[in-house]
Amino acid sequence: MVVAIGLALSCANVNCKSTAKPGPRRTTQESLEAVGREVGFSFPATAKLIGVHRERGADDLIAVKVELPATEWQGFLSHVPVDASLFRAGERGLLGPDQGFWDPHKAQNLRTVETALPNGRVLNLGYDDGRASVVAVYVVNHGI
Amino acid sequence: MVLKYPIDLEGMVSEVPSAYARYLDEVAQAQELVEQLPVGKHTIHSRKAENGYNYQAESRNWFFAIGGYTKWGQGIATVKNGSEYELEFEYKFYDRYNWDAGKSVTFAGITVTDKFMGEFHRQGQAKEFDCYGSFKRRFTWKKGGKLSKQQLDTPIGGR
Repeated sequence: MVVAIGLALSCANVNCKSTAKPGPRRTTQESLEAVGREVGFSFPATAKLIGVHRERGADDLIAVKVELPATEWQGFLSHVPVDASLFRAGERGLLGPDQGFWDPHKAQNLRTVETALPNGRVLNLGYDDGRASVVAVYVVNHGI
Repeated sequence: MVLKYPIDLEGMVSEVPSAYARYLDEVAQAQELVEQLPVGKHTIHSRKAENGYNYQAESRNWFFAIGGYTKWGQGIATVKNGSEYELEFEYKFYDRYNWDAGKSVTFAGITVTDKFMGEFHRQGQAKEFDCYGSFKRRFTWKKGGKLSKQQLDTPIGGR
């Protein structure tokens, strides 16, 4: 136990030599419904699930990318627990690095917002409406 | 008594790209606020703390040591003539290193559940603790202007 705590502490200052590797950003066969339950809100049936990624570390994280018909975006947003007036331009460190399907840094017109959720969790939401008919939505839900 | 552990926040921000982006966002918000203030000297503080997350793909060290965290900014702003600004800025960090039921971490090929670690805490054989950190910068700019990378990265007093 002392060793485990020591490992966690020392990681802040030295190079860890663990064999753990970053998990691949992968497209899964998970359903929109199940992923929605995990992040705390539902996606419209017309949404296309592009991929899901999870991190399991000191604090867990789930990252979900979906694409919606542009006509569905405002309706979807009204069901998400964020203040839409607080969206700001850019990634702002809220969505993490690009990897595989996860590509917020390639977005043409990305806007992001963060909000605190109950039980020490955080919801970061990004959207790219740079394409005419499709809005790409990036959802990150993590612990702190 | 809550144990406190200071972290190398300068190191985290320089090593983790998203942590640097979160720092820049805090500075941008501070600049935006300062540009709305009248001539004079003002103490400023973030309206609310915000959060960040160190991803494993960015830094395994900071991912395992911290993961998600809370950050905010504060400082003393001087508005010289309505279009010239000076800010003594302090970037602050906090995270509780704790164990919550239902979570786990895989480290060196071994999965350790938070429930397992939390049991040591409950038995008094280990303690959860608070991580904290801060660093200071001095910024000067003109209305609508951007800060140079040198200003953003140089601690007060220089390196």
